[in-house]
Amino acid sequence: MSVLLEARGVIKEFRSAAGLPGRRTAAFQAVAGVDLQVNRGETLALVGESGSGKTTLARCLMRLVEPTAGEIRFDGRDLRALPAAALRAERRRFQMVFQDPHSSLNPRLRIGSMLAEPIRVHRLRPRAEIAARVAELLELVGLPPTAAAQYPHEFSGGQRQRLGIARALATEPELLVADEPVSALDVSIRAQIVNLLVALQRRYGLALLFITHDLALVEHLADRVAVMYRGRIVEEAPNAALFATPRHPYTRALLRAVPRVRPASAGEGLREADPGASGAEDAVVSGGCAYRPRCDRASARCAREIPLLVPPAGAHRYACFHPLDPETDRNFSPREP
Amino acid sequence: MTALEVDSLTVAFPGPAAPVEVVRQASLRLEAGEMVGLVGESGSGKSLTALALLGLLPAGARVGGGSIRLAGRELLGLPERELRAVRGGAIGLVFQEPLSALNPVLTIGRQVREALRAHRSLSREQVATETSELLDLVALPVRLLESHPHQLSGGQRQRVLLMLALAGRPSFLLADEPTTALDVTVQAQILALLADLRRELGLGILLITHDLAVVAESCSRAYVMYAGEIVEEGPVPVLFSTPGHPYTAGLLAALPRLGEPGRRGELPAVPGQVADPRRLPEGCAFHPRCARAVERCRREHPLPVSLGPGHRSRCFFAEQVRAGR
Repeated sequence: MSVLLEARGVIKEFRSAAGLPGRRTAAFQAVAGVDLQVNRGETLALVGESGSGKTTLARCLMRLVEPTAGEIRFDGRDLRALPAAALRAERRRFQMVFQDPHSSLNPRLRIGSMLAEPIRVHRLRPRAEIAARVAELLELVGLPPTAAAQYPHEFSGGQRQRLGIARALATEPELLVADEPVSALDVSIRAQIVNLLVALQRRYGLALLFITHDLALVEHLADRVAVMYRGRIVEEAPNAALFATPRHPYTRALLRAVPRVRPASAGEGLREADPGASGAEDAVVSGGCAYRPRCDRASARCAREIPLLVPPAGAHRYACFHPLDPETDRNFSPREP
Repeated sequence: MTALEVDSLTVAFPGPAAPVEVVRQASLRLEAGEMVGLVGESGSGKSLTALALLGLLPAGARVGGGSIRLAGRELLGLPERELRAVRGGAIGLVFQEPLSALNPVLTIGRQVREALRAHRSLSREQVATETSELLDLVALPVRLLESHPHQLSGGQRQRVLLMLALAGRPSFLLADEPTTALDVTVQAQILALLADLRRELGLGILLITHDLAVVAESCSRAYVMYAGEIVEEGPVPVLFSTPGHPYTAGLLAALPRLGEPGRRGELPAVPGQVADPRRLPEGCAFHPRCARAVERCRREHPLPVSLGPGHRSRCFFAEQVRAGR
């Protein structure tokens, strides 16, 4: 399998309290050294809770924000080293679908102009063929050609997300980065959009980086999964391995927290709460493993050293000194009788 | 036994021609000590139903009919002063976004004290005692009383909000999407806390949510709303294993489930768009999205059909849907 996107040692620092006289600015690493690969045609799910840095990482990868350090290669070329014009040209090949279809579409542009613009800018079709291409894009995402004459506010949330996907597809990208693309949608609409993304991905052999907090959805659609916590990837594995034999205690905590639809013993508060005490999710940790305040396996070493992803060349990697045992800790959900 | 009873509640907004009915003939009942789900998507009317219970409808909206009784006493038409005593008194409220519900410039302790004094005249000692009891109930450390809302995590803020809601010693709690803005691990903690409060205090909790999984694991009964109407109600185990309305069945089928990854790429989706209350279809509001719809569904508005103890569905084909035929 060939690598399409590769990130190495990506760091993104934000400074707080900047500009206040007499106050030292504190640097906060939203992304604290991430290595990540997306292969051609695969779906990689990037999972994490709010504040894990997954959205910031995606924006670094898309070059929407400038990372503080690190290397980002797309199809072998270092995006950070490219001159502006070359980067603009390269952008055609990776596109983003945003969470909120309400705020990510220009309210003053008719849908037709919105979809035609990238085609024109990147000179993907002769002028005379642009209208036909717009109609084709609308059809791809399940909207009628008449949508081209309408404005974003005339569409429902689900339809707007279809438009967001059509716009991303307009440049004929090889990689689609979708940041929580269905979280803001109604439950009955989510499945439509997920099915659409998967169908388009198969049809065009797109690589898909799917960012979400919804693990049931991840299990449903991902080839591989990377779990992020506090700016770092703490576990990375093929789909089946991650769900059957998670190695990082945080991954297991996440899996255990997923609500079950089976009402086996309704009303009894089925989910196991996180072992971390209430509020521990916000504890500030300096040095060592960031998960240790919530972890029941934490040792003195976890306070001293930051665990790296091991084994270095493995398909299933985890950043933990005391990983779960795939035999004895097997499976996470013995909830059903 | 006290109960909160809503009977044939209708809520409407003024429209260009006729009023737009956003809640139509909704009837529901909540007993002390039970946690009941009110499930629906955007525009289903679930939140407006809850706001109507408290006389907190947004400007323009008004109750067009029906009744709301708390332990037999009619709340509709009560003067605002008496309604205020009910709100935060007998009925507590918890919203989705705890940050906007808290006063950013006051310490948590101050806000708790104010909530305690709002409905009862308490001495300084009583306030102190009740504050620490409340802290115990929601499992927050004393030191948080000195904090301001922005210094707390999302889960802690939701606990603070629960404290404020409990300060008036309510017998009912309306919780509108209380876990939606939270991460899954924190969500689990808050739901466990709600379950504890239900048990320990005998609270009746109406959990308003779009999340079927949250209902499945925390509620004993549920109402499903679509386009302003309760289309199905029933005990949760029955509702989730043998739904009697195509909408409920469609929602359940469309959810990806952990441990069942077999259907990759093809989630059975409910087609079409969520109904717009301004342009409701004739007959059954769900018919444009329903695979079973026949001529009758396009013409005639279905009435609730009983499918078993406490299980009702507004569908002409309720029996067949339940049997999975």
